[in-house]
Amino acid sequence: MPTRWITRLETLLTYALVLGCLTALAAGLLYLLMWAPGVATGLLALSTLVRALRRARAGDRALFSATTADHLRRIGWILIAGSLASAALGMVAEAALAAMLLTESYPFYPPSSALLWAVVAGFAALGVSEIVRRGLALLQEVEATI
Amino acid sequence: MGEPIVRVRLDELLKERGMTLTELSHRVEITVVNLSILKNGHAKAIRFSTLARLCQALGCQPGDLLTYE
Repeated sequence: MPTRWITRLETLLTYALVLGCLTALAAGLLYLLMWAPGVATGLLALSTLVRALRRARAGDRALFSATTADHLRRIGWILIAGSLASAALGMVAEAALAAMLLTESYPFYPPSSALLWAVVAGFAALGVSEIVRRGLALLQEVEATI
Repeated sequence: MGEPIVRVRLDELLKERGMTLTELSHRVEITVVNLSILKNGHAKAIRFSTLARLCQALGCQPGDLLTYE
């Protein structure tokens, strides 16, 4: 008879262990969701910026070109879309994680101010891109004036 | 129907005066490349100063140099 109890206890402990592992895994994933999309957005924007700067070092005409305008526009949209998506994912993940780990939690956690600044930087990049694009059109017109 | 254009009659005026593009280039101090752009209708605009120098070198009026088609 004692062996039956031991078997039941073993099964119970196994279930508890699996449940604990799954909870830890879910918590880890939620924690990852809180910061990974923001970091990925930042890295993507940074790599595009590095590419644009590397190309712009070739000279003034390379800096003031349609490619630079395209790079800036891409950076702008990466920052805006990436930050908004990161903020949404982060808020959901943080609320779920808090509900899972804390005895008292809130349904809404505001995103960090860094994400707000990233959106502002995105709009700034879009603005500079438009300035370069229009300036380029003016430059081409001036160059075609004899 | 094509878009109306302003044509520069540089070829005709040079022929009438027996002048080459290089000679005109020296007189008006504008590169042959830029004069070719003007001559072939690839220029988007012409400065008054350029027009005045061309008229002076060719002994003509702006109206003789430009035609609207």
